[in-house]
Amino acid sequence: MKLFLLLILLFGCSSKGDQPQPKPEPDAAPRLRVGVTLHPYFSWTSNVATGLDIEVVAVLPGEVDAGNYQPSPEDIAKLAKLDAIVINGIGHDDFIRDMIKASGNPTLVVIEANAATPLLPSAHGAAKNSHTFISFTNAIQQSRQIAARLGDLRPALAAKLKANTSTYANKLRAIQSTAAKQLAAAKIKRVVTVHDGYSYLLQELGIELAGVVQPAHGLIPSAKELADMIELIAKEKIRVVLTEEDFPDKLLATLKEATAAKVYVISHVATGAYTPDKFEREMEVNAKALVTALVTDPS
Amino acid sequence: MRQGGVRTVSIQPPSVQRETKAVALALLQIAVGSAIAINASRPSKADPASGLQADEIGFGKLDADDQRLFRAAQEGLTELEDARNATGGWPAIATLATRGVPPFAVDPIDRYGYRWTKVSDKLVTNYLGIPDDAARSTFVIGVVEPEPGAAEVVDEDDTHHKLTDGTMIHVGIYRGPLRAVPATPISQFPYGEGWRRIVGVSR
Repeated sequence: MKLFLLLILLFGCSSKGDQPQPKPEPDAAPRLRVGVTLHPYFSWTSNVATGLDIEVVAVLPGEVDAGNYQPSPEDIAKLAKLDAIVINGIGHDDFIRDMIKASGNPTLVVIEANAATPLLPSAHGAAKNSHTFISFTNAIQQSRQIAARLGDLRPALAAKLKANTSTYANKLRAIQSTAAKQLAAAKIKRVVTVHDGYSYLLQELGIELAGVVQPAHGLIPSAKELADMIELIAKEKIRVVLTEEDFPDKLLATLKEATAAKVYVISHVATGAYTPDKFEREMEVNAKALVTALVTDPS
Repeated sequence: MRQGGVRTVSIQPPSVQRETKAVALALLQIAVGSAIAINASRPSKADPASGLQADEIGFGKLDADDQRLFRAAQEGLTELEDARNATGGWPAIATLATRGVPPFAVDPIDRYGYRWTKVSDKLVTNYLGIPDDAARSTFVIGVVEPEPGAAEVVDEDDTHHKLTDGTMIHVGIYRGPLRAVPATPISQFPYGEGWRRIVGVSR
């Protein structure tokens, strides 16, 4: 036995010693630094870049919602050191174009996450709905878009980027599929939302949007707009209202008192610490909230 | 001029100017004739504002259920291309369904009973989603590969996707009236029969 162990030890040492040790390639491409404007893009890009020499940089402070953001010199300075940046590009981060100009980084590659995403209309007005990121389907499609563009910048990493994207897609699909199975039995299929951010998510889960309380992103409804919504909820017998975390409590209380509808919170995935798993965690909570609102509570 | 019974006729070549005019006229007639013929077989532009052809329909014009299905089909198409890149062939429906890839996997939200079938020949592959509900449209994810050696030099866009081996393929997601699985895949989706290619992002 001792002889056997000795042989293994000797063989192992010899084998290890004979093998050439990996050396850093002198002409290897430098680390890719990729900025993001929104929390979901941080999660997606981090997952796509898992295990690769790619640094994901959040341009905005975590606690600031992009809808209320004012550019700062420190954040503009971050852009100067980036190779690429992932942006929404359809209204959710309009500030970034001027920041990029101000950064004086002429080689910065802009990756428009929505370049190939079919867009739904906003509930009010003629604009397209920029909240494409609150969606499983779009997350998968846009992660692919990000991976493809990063692969253009680092062709040697393209295959691994693609493989990482597939792994991430499977993870997101599993969450979506679990929710879809439960929501297929939903007793309620029509809801009102406070915030116009959930159209893509509701559509992919087969839920109809009857109306949106906020007149535009981040705007508080007027007394008349709130009264109109209360009338709609009563008239159409809407029993579920989905709200965001920071909608004013006073208005929400008015909505609750004036109608028989129950209110549930759906995350906008818009504030907090930037982490690779933030998107999947918060979307899983959102999916469970929908199941509670539409399946469990009404039964 | 007559010399006995023989008649002499001088044949002059047409002037360069007249000959050029005649050739130009002939070319114009061919061009006009061809244009008429092409336009008769192809629908004219339907919506100059969106840039869509008459045989195309924008995502925004679909109802919510078809929008949902189109989004799923787009996701499915990327998975099809990944599988083609990895294996050299177009995957079976069962393989995709087992992996949970939409729209091929069981969809508990689907209210119309879409059933997916793959039909292919040498170069053309269709993934057909035919609903039980006759009021709903059939969806087709269509792929056409070039003849071997017949490389096409075009830029990548929503109908031309490049595989990792460099092959440029034609792709499209179509909506139409088909009610039964055809024996051979469809490569042309006739406008006159109600087929429309769905355009996700308007040009």
